[in-house]
Amino acid sequence: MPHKTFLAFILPSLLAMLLFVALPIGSVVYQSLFIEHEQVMTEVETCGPFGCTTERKVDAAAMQELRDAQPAGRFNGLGTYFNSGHLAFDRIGQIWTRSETWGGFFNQVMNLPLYKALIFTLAYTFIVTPCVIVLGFFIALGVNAIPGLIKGPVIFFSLLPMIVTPLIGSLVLYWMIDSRGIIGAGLQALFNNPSLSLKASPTLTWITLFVYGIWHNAPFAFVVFYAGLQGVPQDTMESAMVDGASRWERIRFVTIPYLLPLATFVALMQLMDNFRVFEPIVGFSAEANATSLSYLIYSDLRGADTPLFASAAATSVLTTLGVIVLLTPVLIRTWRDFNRKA
Amino acid sequence: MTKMLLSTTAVLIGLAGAASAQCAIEGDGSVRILANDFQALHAVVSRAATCAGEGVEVTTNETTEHKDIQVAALSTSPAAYTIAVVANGSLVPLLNEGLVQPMDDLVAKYGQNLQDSQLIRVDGKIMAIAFMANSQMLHYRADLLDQNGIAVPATYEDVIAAAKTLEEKGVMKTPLYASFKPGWDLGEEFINMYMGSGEPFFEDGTAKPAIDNDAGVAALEMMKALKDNMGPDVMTYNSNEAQPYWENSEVAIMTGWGSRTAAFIDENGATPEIAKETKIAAMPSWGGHDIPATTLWWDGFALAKNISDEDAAASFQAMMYALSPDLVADPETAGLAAWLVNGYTPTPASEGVFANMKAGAKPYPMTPYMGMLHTALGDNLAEFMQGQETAEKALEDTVAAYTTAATEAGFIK
Amino acid sequence: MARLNLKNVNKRWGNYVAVKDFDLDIADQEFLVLLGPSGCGKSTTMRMIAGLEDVTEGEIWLGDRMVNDLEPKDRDISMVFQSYGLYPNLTVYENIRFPLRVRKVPKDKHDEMVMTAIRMVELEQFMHRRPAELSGGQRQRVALGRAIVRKPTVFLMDEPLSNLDAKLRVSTRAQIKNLQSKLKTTTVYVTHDQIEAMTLADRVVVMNKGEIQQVGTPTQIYDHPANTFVASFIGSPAMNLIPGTLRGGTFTGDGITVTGLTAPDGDMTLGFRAEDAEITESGGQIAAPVYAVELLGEASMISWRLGDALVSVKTAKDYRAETGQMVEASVPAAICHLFDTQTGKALPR
Repeated sequence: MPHKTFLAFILPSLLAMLLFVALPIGSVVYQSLFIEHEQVMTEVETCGPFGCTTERKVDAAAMQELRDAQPAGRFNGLGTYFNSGHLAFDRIGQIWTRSETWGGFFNQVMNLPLYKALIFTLAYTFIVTPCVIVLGFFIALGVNAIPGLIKGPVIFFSLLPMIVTPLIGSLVLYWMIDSRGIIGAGLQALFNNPSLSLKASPTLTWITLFVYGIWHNAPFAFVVFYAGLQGVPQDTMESAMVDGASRWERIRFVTIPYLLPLATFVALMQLMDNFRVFEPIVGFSAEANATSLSYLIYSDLRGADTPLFASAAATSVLTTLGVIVLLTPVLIRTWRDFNRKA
Repeated sequence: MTKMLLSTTAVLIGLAGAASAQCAIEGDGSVRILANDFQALHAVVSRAATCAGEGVEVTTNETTEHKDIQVAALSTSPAAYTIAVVANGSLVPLLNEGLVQPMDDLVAKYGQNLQDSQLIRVDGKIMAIAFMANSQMLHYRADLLDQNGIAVPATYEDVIAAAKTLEEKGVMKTPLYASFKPGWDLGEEFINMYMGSGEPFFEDGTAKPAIDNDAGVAALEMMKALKDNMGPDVMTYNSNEAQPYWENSEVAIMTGWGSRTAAFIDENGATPEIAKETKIAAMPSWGGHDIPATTLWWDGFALAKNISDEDAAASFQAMMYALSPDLVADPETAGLAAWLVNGYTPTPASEGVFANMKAGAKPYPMTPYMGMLHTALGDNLAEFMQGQETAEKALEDTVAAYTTAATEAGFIK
Repeated sequence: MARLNLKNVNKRWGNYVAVKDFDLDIADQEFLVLLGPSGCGKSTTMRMIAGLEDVTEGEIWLGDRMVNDLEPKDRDISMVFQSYGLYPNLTVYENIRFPLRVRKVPKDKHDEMVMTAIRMVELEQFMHRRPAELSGGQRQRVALGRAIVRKPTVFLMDEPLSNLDAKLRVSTRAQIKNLQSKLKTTTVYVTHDQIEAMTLADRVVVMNKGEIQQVGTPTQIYDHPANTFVASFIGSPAMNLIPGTLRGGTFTGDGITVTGLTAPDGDMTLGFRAEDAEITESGGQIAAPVYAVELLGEASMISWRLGDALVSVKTAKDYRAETGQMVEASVPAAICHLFDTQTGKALPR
């Protein structure tokens, strides 16, 4: 293709990428380098129904002048990235000097907001993703084996968790695991422990979130694998039957190798999705025991009276970097496969 | 949307017109109200909406997300809303950004019905008009306390002793309830408790936090002691979810918001026998201090800055009509809150608020960085409450989180 | 030892009859070819032998075992598929070893058995490659190697050459013939290609619409087609078939008259092979304008249109004639086959 034609062909998508991908990311990175101007404060007397008090107040007019002069705020460089709300190198240093054991060191580092969120996010990603792939695969095998008449309804029910809005799904489950809900009360009766609460214990909350994540995402893997199963080469399958392979050996040597590229695809999508886990944390009110990177961004923007744009932007950039790191191995693998085939 | 608003407005005119005097506004203008969404506010906002008529247009937006949109909505010129219904906490961001205007002239001209206590003066200028007070108060089951020989608790130490008695006598397993859900609720509980110590939140004249002290630790330990007498799901308790526990007789003593009390003592509700025995008292004090461990809140309205004088005048008049004594003439509306408007006589639901005021409770600080401390508290105390770290560590984490945020926002160098 | 016996085997899906009353005894070490157009039931028959399809009615006996209810893996057969059916993620060596592995053959015997098979299919230099890195012919040899490695009692081959190009087909065909003669394993081979059938088979079963049309050696089938279907399916070109009537030993059809036939009077179809008839100057049984002249290389083919039938005769490769030119052909009674037009069945000569 001549260069000119190629350019004309690709220009619209290139422009769209620039407009919808590069520009927003660029602006987020830029935003993360600035913080609010130093506040000009005055002391004023405030009176109301409960009497008078002297309080400090922001001088709005003076602040306006500062903002007009420098709309982006004060340049802070990478300061926001390194502060104790994010990478917190200073605090890690302090913890290092004062902790005596590795366990103590890790415990304290994992208590820092970003690391706390990161460890949950990673745990969620690396537990939910493989479970989703395995569970989705077995659901697909199961559904594929059932006769045609009831296949339709079964597929529909299998897809339900994905159709239900994440927030609704998590709320429904949240009510069920309440200590007076069906699951919560059931577990209390089962373990004969009236103080057992799925919501209170961090471990149980994590498990609940994982289970929810698997429940919610398995249909996606199921649909992809089910579609893939329709194309498993019949000849090879029958070869294996004649060769003497058991049902499991046929799955292992014929079905799985055939579905492997699909599994890569599902893994890629799931890694990306799960790394951005957010709704279940809100739905389950799990912020006390489990926060994710996305949740940090949300709480920076919505938690306080004034949104902390720099913090949110810095966490966003770190999350983006995390996604890139996470996907690199899969992408390298895909690239190698591609080259080998070409 | 507009159509729906107009039709609701029309219905409201019909209802209100029959009961009381018509709303009459001098001059033309547009009234645009942004408010939180709960019953008492709805009564006010819907009265203001009846002022729609010749030359006067009224639109309202009642949403629980009001805090998140108010700054952006009032920053435009003209502002998207002329009236922002606020509380002492949520007025601060508007003041910080200079988005509201003084109302002294309008008060002089149209504010005959206002009482002096309703005027919120900042630096001598009237920046908001309060119309109701709110605070947490102690709800208790008079029957259960009587039967077990427990006096109405005046201190948190009493509350814990009462809980222990109820537990020992096998009346209830988890007799206490407080909103300990991490986030705003948990932060508010700590602020209330710490208020009871009388110590300041910040070092004098700076934004540096001062909670990392013995009073802070003691406040946390008290909360932990309370938590040990609450149900297994305590870390998800919030004020929305209290009612089923109460009506199910699983809880005998609860700290809860005055704005929700009406539902608990409603003898036409789901469990009249429990409602009948539900009584209200001032919040307990603790640690030998005499101050009720609570903050006082007011709800009121402020006038947007970026609006025309006509709109400002029309909006103010509409709110004045809404807040006229007619508002509290209806006993049902009067029962919804502790009103600060002229002509209101306290009802049982508001007793607690006035008892708190009388006992010397302080208002929630209107300091610009209080919200940040509140957020940091809400995010960092849960681990202590669940026994995963010490009170000192929890406060240290809170201070670190607050300092980071306040530095970024320019309050701390 | 490995006699394969099909007793009145039927296969039906609902009302559709795929195989009807298939009754055949296949001798030990025999190379049997099932031949027929697509959809004739030959593959279904083979799949029933393999156990990949259930038998609706009838019995399949392998040696002295009735195998109807046995799983494919328990029938001691091996099968080669049209599109190879290899395991894409295993190397050639592992593909061939696979049956030994899943059948729990003692590990220490694997290498010897696999290497023997690899040598027989001449894949020594490719044994560490994966199927994707092999040509079609090599892949089919891997499939053959996998089929022979565990020395089954019966080989089943389902159109194994159909995916190969013409040249590879010839050489792989030879290799299959060679393997079978070495291993002396009973083989059932399905094809729609009559050349494969003719070259490979000890016996050919011609099938159509689920029914056996004729069973016989390739020569028998070629020389004595049992009915018009076999006559028209076997041979290249297929046998000329001309409808007409027989009166007192004389056959009369559109543009043709043949005398000296011995058969009862009636509606008959006359058949003869193009290579048996000759072009003649005069006195031919056919005398008509030429419809087409085709050069085949080793011969020329002259064709006429007689009524609805297209009739061809092979002649010397240097023979030339113009289209439309009158040409005569001699079709003596000796080369003619007669078929009952009603039933299609051949009349005895």
